[in-house]
Amino acid sequence: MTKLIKVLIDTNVLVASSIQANISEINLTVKHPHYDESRKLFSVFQKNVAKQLGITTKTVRGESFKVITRAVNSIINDKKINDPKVKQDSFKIGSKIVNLCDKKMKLLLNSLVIEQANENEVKIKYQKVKEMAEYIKTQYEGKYINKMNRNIEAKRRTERISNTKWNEALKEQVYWAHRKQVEQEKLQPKRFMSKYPNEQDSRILSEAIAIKEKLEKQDVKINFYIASCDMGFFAPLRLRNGGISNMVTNEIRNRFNIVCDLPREIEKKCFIE
Amino acid sequence: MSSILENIANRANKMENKGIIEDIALENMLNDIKKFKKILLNIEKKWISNDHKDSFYFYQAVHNLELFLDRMSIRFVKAKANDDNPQIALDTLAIIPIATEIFQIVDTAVINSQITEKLLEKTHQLRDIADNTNLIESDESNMNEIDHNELGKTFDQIMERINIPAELPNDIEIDETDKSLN
Repeated sequence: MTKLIKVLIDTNVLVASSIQANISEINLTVKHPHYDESRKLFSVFQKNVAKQLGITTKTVRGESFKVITRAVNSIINDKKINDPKVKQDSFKIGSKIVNLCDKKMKLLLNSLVIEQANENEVKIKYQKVKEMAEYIKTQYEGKYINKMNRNIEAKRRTERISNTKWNEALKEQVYWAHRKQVEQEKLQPKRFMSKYPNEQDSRILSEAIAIKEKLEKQDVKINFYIASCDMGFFAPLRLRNGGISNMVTNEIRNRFNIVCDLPREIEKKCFIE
Repeated sequence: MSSILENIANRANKMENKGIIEDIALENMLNDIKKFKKILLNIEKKWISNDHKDSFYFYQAVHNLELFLDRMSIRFVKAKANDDNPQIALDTLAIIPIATEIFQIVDTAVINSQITEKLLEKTHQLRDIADNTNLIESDESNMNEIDHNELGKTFDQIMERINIPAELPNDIEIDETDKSLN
């Protein structure tokens, strides 16, 4: 059986790789902090056109345009402009930015296949994603929500050493190691909960599952990835010291066999396989 | 007012059927485009002076209609030289239905979240169709009307606003002397 790689591009990757401009008149280049790594992943797709590695959905595509337009609107609103001329200039600039980014997005979309999932299937998968989200919420509230719960969780993990003959200092050291681990684990679900319930990302995940299953029905084995910069849902939260918080993304992998990660990590996976 | 759009569609239809653009037909078409653009500029002003928090979306939709009209005019003017008929006529016909829908929305004074959402969808669709029919604006269009320093600043603000975290904590910090449970 053939084994294929499919990488679904999340909204924020499309957005990050679209926010770039060279304003030659003032000798200024602006680009999103995730621009380089997101564009590199698109380069992999472009160099492997025949393999059709990159995919996206209409939801992601539509949402990407809206994300940029809404961001521009909120910036204009924050300025609280009364002068009509200043407001007109501000609208002109805002519109220009949305259009420049949209044109970049259109070019990038040429290297992606827009997959259409069956709507009934998406609705069925949405229920499963909702169940997963509720499970994460329960876990978060039980283990990580506040210091007391995190202390209790760390103590539960060190219960079996409490009756050993280890000296107190060592027991203390082990306790704090677990406590630190719990603190680290908390980061991703905490970010996940800050946007709970996240209908848009749940919808995108439901589409991804439906698309994966549709492709697998064609007797194809697939390594399915989601490339995302959103460390509260579709990418593990990686610390600069090498630590990782990945409760949400592990849950997605275990339940749906979909690996979620940052564009640079997905890029490595594309090359390895 | 959408009758002007109907006129533009009828003229494009005739051009497509004839396979040529006669001088008089070109003049009439350009006049209609000019008239329609004038109407749009007034609607644009209306949305600039509107204080609603979502008025930018309406401006953006109207402005995109103007941009596609500008591109359409240029292509009609150069159609003979570039052998662009019936293609320009067909491309115009392809964009008229979505332009009509957008025009009907922006010409009213009603703003609510449903209409705003619909307008965002339609503006997105308009740009997709304009892209597929070679009626999309060039990157340089309107650049001379814009303060480039402000453009750079707004780009920076957008990156902050979109809030995709780039900087990660180096390590987890906990106070190991604090053993309280609260």
